[in-house]
Amino acid sequence: MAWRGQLSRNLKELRILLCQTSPASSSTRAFVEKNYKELKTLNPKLPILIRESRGIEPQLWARYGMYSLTHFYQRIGQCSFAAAPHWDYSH
Amino acid sequence: MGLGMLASRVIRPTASKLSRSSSLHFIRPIVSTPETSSAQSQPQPDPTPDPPPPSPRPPVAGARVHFPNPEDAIEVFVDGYSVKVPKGMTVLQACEIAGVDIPRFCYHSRLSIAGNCRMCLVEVEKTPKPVASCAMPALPGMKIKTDTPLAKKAREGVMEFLLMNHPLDCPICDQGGECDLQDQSMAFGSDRGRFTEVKRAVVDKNLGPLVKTVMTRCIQCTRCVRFATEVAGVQDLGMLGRGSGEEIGTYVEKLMTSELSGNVIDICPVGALTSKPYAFKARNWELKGTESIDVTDAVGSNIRIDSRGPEVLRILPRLNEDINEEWISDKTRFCYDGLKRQRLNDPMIRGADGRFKTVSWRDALAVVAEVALQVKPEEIVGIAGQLSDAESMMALKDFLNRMGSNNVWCEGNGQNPDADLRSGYIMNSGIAGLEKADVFLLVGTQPRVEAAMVNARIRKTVRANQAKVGYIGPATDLNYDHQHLGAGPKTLIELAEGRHPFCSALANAKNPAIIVGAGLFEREDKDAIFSVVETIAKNAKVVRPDWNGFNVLLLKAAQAAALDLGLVPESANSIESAKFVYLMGADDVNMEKVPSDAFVVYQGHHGDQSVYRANIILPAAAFSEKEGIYENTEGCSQQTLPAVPTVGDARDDWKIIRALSEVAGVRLPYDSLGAIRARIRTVAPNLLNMDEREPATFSASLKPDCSHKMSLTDFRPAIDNFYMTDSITRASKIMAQCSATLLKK
Repeated sequence: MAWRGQLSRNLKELRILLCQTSPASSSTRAFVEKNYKELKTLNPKLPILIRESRGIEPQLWARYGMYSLTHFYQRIGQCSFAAAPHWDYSH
Repeated sequence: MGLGMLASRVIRPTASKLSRSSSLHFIRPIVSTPETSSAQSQPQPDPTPDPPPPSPRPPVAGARVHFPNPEDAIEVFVDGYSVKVPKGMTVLQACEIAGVDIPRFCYHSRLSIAGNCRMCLVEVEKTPKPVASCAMPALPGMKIKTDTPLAKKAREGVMEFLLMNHPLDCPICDQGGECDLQDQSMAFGSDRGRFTEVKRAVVDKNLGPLVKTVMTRCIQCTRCVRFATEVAGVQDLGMLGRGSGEEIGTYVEKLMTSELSGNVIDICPVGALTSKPYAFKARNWELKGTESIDVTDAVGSNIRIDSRGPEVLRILPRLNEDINEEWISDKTRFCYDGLKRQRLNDPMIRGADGRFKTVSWRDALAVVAEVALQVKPEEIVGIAGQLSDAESMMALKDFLNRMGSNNVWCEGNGQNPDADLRSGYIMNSGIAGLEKADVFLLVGTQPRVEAAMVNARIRKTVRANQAKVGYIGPATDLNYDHQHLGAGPKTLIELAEGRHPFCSALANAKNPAIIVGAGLFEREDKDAIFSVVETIAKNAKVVRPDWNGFNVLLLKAAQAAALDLGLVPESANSIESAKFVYLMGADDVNMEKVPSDAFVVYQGHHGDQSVYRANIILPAAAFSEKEGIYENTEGCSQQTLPAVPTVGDARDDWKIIRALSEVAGVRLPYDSLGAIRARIRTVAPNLLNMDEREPATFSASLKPDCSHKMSLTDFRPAIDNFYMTDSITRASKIMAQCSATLLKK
């Protein structure tokens, strides 16, 4: 997928927050298992921070360019990452 | 003496009268420490004669009993109450579970049993004499009586003998008020002695700059000897002579060169071993205790900061079985005098003449904001120091990001940190989990100086399970048996290719543990080293679903939280082209790399190395003065609490950055500690799960293959001087004395 190599052009940081055990996070865990290696290989400089914490709802956060002050951090819901075939969590 | 007589008049007659009339209804509280007294003042229900009821009192100090094997439970009777204990427990432990605190001097739950003070004598039915409960195993059906006239008489006798040769210098003794001998002589001693001869005197020993000895006060409990040989791993202390000539000493005068020596102060039940820096400074009842966290290394030892007014007077360990048990290192215990020296107390600007001039906060922040707005965003660099808390690092990162810069990192994490997977930088087995390991491989780490408490844990495992330790790095003195496999990457390659004899030990191990030192983060080829270590881990099956023995031992208190928050620089050499450098307590940065025309802001609490280069100083609070989250090397976040007020005009780190962001026109959206923690919740929520270890899920196998090449330069020691590693310890006089006397080559 071409978009994956382009991630680091606009993104400064990608953060995936999930729970180690809960079923709600299971699809996110599978997503990381499947895609992390490829994403990191294509974007070696982009920090893809995976943070585990008990009992949290899985989230994906992205930090964009330098001057975006108002939408400094944007929460990506289920739709905006539609290009990602494995991104299927429903929270 | 007056106090003792008064107390015995108050306690003894009533107790004996009552116990004679209705011994079952009245249970005299046996209290050796004030903390346990509340546990014993429970209302007593009427005991029914048949069958014996379970003990109505909760176990001493709220302890819970763990039965590894339910069939091994045996029933004993303590003062008529039935209690179930696991097989192999001693009578004293059974009594503790039954809620009876037996007086003791030589017994210590973390040391081997000596049985030489005889204070713990209790009566056991069908035995002719009172038995030393600390050394007697509990047997099924044993009827233990802790409150009979015989037991009381035995204790009184022991106390009388102990006090015979104990000096009457309580008024000038630093242990006064927290002395086991004082407390127990009040509770269990007789009201008079029959000793009329001359008391013995013992020559004081010189144990170094930390431990003060008054050996005449020693009651020969041998706790310090056992601690030194068993936990600290120095065989220096021992018992000399016999009879009244018996004394504790080193035989030939020798300093106690252990990094845990300060703990003998805590375990000494009398005032024989006390703290030298604390001598004659305060009485324990004048002090305010604040439960906090140590920041001098990445272990996050639990401490209690004892302060009086604005001054920290001493630091004591707090019990935490998962991290530091009940010990702390000497650096943790004695660094506190550094909190009073070299402090920055006012914002200062360096004038044209090179001298610092005190200015107001308003002017200082205006100058910083003006300079920051003049330079290009990519020329802004922020470095968090090794003592930074998570909140301030969050604020620093947000501030720099808003200024358009992505070059923010924490010192010690190297030029190119990999913060993606938490398993790549935390101790995955946990500190307590190391006890399950049976083979250790230490790669480029000297835990004895990098994290003394982790080293104590490894030593404990080596002693208990005969675990094998292989060490790769420069020659060092670990205080347990180990094989020195090699000095650098060459040995690593041999291990990875299975050519090294130690491979068979790793392969045969049930729970192998690899500990990689964070000193390697600073190497250019760290990715390559880590990928080789991961190969070794894979070959030896170090990472399994039920056991993760791949560990990184961090060096600094801020490191784990910084990586969790994503303090990762965008470009590795940004400091060389920087025009605006924001140092948040960073003192170990190589300032020669900073261009001479760069504007350097130093925000911190000590005038340390970086201040010489700073253009402006913003005074901040030290760890003893603020509330802040620190994550330790095993991924457990804990928080410090303010014990003393800040010095001068200093402010909390995150507040300074928050104020600066407003002056610079990029206001950060939080203005309370709660709000900044809510912000952390969206970045690294594990930091807010206080006192709980958050394990990492994904192992290094997810990482893309490494294409870098490993250089063959040998590993270097990460820490040269155990006693001086950060701005607080470098400002400490006691730590300077320790480096001068104890590190003599």
